[in-house]
Amino acid sequence: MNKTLLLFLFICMKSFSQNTEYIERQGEVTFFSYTSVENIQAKNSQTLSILNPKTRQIAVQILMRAFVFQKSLMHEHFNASYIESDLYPKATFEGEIENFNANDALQTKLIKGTFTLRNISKPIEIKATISKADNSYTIKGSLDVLINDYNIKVPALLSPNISKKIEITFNFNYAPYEN
Amino acid sequence: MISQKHRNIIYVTVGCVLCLGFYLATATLCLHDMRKAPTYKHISTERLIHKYDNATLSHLVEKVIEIDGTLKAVHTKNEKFTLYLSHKKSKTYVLCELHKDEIHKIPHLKIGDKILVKGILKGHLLDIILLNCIII
Repeated sequence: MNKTLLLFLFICMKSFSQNTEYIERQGEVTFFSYTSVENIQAKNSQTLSILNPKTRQIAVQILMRAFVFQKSLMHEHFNASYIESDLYPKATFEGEIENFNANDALQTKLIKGTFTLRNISKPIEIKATISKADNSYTIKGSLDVLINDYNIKVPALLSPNISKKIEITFNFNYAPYEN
Repeated sequence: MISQKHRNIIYVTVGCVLCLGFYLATATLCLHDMRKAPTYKHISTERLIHKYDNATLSHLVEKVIEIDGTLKAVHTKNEKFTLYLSHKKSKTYVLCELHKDEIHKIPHLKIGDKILVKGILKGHLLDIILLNCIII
């Protein structure tokens, strides 16, 4: 009897102590600016994200200086003039996955939350594909960001080179977070 | 007499060789730049994490630094390789994303090795992030 009780307690404790959070330290975020004059692409492979399948919450932090451009001059303009990375080093997203089922192998869901860039927060909705394999999750999706929404000022001379609408794609692979 | 078709083939071949040469020269130059770039500061992983904990990292952002520390893990994703350096039981890592020309050194690395890495410090999130790293 005592052994059964102990086993029951052990199973209960084990299930309660299981990780409820998942982490991605090397998330990939890519942005694209398409214009007839020039196409600009930059990739950040060091994005941080934490997913809590129980609460359906997701948080993302992007280090703006960690975007890699094809040309170093683009990197310089991006950080110094447009984003002002010294003042606003990170972009963040905090949101919740609607109707998320933590056990589904594959699902397409809407993530609603707040995206903050240059200290300006805007509500956004992202359609994302979420897959589960063993003890990991993958979330992929894309969204469009209008540069005017975040008060990003482009000099008139360079205006034809930078799209007003920036396309952002992301790919996060989460593993259990042992904190 | 060379026909127009052969001329076109020659032009395309020369163009491809020039493009390849330019690409290789640029790639080599970038790596050499990091090797030759003057080191702003040499610092241990322990000291760097201490600076992070005390929010005194900002003066090192966008600087070329050399870090010595213990290799805790090597992660790969989409052909990007990142070395995880840490100190003892610290939960904070120093993440060094390797320059693509350094990838051939990975099979020679062992977890627990003491290594010296040079790269550009970009800032921090949960961990401290360096890009364009080389192993020296």
